[in-house]
Amino acid sequence: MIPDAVPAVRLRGVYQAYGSRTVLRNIDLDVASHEVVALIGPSGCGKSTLLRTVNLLEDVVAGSIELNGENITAPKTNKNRVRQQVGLVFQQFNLFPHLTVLENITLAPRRVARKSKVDADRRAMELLERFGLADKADEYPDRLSGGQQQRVAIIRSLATEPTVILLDEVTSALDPETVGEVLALIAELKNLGLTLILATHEMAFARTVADRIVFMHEGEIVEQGPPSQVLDAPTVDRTRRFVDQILSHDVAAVTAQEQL
Amino acid sequence: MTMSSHVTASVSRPLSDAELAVILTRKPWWQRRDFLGSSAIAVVSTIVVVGLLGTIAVNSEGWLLFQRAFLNPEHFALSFPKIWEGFLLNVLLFVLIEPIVLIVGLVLALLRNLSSPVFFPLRFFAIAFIDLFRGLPAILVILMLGMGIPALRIEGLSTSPLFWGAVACVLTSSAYTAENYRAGIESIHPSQRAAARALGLGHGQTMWFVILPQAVRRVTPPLMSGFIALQKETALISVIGTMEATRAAQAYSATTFNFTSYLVAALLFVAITIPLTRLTDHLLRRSEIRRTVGGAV
Repeated sequence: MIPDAVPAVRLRGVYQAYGSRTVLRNIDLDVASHEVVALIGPSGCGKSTLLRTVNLLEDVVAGSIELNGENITAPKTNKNRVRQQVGLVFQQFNLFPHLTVLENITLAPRRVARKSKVDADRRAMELLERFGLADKADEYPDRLSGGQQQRVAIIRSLATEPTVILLDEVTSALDPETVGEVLALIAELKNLGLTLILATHEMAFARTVADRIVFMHEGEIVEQGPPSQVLDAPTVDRTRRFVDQILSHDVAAVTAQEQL
Repeated sequence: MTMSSHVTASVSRPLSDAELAVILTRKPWWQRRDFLGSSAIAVVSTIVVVGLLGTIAVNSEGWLLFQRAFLNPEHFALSFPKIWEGFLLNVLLFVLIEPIVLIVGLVLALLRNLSSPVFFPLRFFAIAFIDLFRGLPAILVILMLGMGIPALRIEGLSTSPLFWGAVACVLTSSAYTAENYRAGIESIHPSQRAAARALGLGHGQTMWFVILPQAVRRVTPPLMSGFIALQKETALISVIGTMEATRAAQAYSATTFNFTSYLVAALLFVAITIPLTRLTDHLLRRSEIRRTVGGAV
């Protein structure tokens, strides 16, 4: 990470609240271009809210967010333009059930970026081919497996040609045997040079794909650093407890599988 | 169900492909065993019930008079041409009115859905409109517009009671239709809106490309019910003297003292509304099967 480079995403003193419940407290976070940051932490710690806030689905209560040096929390920001550059992929895929796979992917390029149908279709087919889903182009989402739906959802967010992609626990709703194909796709996104921020419970995956791990607890960033530090030698007690719990659970699951 | 248990009982070895194909090939519905069984029961029970009710009616004291007054074949044939002519006006009315109702209802629903305070007046107008015309009996609206506006003799406004009767139908039906649309719009999960907004679609685009197509599909059955209600509502225009089917039936019975003409009008209405309902059900089911796995079940 070049020290004086403009970060892809910069959060400064970000607060977020639902009603009177504070969900994010004084978040400072810099994510460099091409960096992969994994957010970990117990349910309700604010990971999802952080991602939704960066995508501007929620307005910040206080603080600022910069995207490639531009303040996107300024009142006059064109949110729809920002969202083209920041893709968000949801836990539950949220594909549009009345549209085919191809139509799901081309909706934003055609209606927001005003591409012609021919151009948008061609680009979408390129993406589908690259990620092995070309034969599903004319299917409706309900006919696909969970893993395929999530891959389509990721491709849909890629189609607006974003520089940053936010992934919100994208494997949590999947059957175990389809998790691998989605993780493989995310690893490819990294190779494409995209900046990724992912909220995840997949510690093994976070360890291999993330450049940095950020541990959150009750709306605050408690600890961050390279995977080897945060996962193997956490300095803060709360991090240690969380990591121990998750890792012992993983070990238990593996042992149980071996015994079968 | 009966078929498979029968097969497993008699065969103890693995099935050959040919045997399996015989079991799995879906016979047309009229050849299916469960259909034949259930339809036999349905036929018997219908005969019993209708026979019983029929016996009671035929043995009642006034049966002969009733038969002469309501089920007279001669009057049926004599009144038919006039009522048919009137019925064509009903058809013309609801065919012309329904598209307008669908559009006005949609516009009202969309206005009502506007959340920005800037649009408060529009939102208020939509709510007031819907409350008013859902609260008023249709026949009153028809009477007030059909009689009232022509009486005002305002330059440039139509003085045809038929025209204003039709407008009254549009107003009342649109109010109900708007509520149907709204129910559909509100039934779409917020995550769909979030997904569309996250892709950069604006509020209007999200509504038009993502929410509405799903909502309309979901409320097609109630919209269809609304259409059928409208078809029947056109009969109310008779109160302002328009010679449609009901009015024609009334006119016939007034001169002949025979009520068979009402039966004619009733049959004509039912002959349109029932097939239309079945057709919509069929179309909806087909689109559902195309979209989902196991949609046929």
